Amino acid sequence: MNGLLKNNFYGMIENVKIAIVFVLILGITLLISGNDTILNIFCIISTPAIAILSLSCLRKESASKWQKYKLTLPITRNAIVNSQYISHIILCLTTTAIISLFIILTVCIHGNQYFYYGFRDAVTLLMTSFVLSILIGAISYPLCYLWGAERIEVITVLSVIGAVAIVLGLSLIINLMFDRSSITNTIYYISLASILVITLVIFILSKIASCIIFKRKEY
Amino acid sequence: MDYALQLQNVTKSFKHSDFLLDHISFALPKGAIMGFVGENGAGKTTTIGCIMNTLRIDSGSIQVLGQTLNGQNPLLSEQIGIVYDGDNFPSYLTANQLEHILQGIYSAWDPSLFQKFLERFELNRTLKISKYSKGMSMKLAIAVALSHHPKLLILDEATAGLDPVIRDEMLDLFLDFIEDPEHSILLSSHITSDLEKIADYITFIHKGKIILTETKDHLIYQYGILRCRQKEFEQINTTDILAYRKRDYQIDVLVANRHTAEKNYKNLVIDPATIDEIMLLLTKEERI
Repeated sequence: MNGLLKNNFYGMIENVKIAIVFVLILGITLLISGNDTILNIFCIISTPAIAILSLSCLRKESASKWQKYKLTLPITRNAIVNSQYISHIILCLTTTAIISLFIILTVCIHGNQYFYYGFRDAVTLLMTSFVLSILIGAISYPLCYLWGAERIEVITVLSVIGAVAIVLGLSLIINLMFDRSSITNTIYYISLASILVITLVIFILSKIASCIIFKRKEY
Repeated sequence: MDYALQLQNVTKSFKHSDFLLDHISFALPKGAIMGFVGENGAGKTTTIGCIMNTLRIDSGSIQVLGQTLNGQNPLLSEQIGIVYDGDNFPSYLTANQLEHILQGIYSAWDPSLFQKFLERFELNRTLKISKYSKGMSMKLAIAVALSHHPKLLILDEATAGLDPVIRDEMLDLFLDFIEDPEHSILLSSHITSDLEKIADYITFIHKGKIILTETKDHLIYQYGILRCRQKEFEQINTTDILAYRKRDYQIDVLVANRHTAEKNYKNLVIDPATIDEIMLLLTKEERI
């Protein structure tokens, strides 16, 4: 597993290094300007963008015989799939942590002029970004194993649409369940936690689906 | 005799193709090199895919070092080194990064041996594989395949596209590897001259079927080609003819025993057969 994680890490870094530079530049711009629009864009876009770019390493792998070669290594097919999902979640968590750091620094420098409901809003913003990027992975990986990494562009578009649709759908259901004016902090956090749990369940189901698809795959 | 690899009645069909691997059977003894020969599309890569379990067989059995390779026994995979034709590894990696990856996968990975190969092949560790020439990429793949101390080396057209100097270097390396009696090589190749140099056994595959598997020495010292005209051809006993090929005014006839043929057909010219000629004659449809 250690070797597989390194393999994924090298592939992801190769693809996301420009995006990381872009995120850092945007983060520093945010720190200097304290602009609330930049903050929103920075929070929502960064993690999903890096998640999307990391997917394209699958295409680069498929351009060589590496996918086939990996199957000849002393590892199981399930381990290959697991490593992909673990790497994805590590990447999303790391990016979210970096974004959080920039938000904390921005609030420290410019004061809290961004979050009307305070901590709750900041968590919502970060979680939306994290949930979107996790869902993008959850939709992309089984499709990649099913259709092949050559169709990564179509898969990426579908995964972004799917991820946004799931987040909007879940938010809509929660809004319908509760009267907006009577939402307490507790209910709000329970709702956020529910979305997170549902997302993680989707991610686990996606991993199971990928394992089943990949087990049947021939190279 | 102990075998490194045994295939028995292996069949493999594909959903969207007429190609069929048709009851493939052959065995590679330990301590030997087997040349796996056939034209493009004959089924060499498919057979190797079945051996390595990247393709699932429909029926039959494959034993690698006495065990079945089914993706659930990593210890067995540890003992196999594989080299595919073309790009084995992602082009964005360096040899250094590749080593970090494989060190975390192979328990028997030998960094000093890998370093020795990199030095021997003059490969730069920090250079991206995308910057390597085809020969360098192939050398790297061979270095990787050997650096975890495999017992069986499988090479799928690994010497194709390499210049004669590099090919010769590779062949020497394979001969070094085979010095250990526990080591074996299955070498699929078009380049029959390479096989004549190093192979102990030659297996011919044609349209998904094994048409001949024999020791190289037997092929070279026993097989022969009768050069004759139509009239003389008609006088040859059909049981002596393995395959024949008409060429303008001459017919080349492949016989399994050159020395017997010399006695039986004294008026005919009989030449020793090269692997190339045997392959050409066997893969032609004109057979008795």
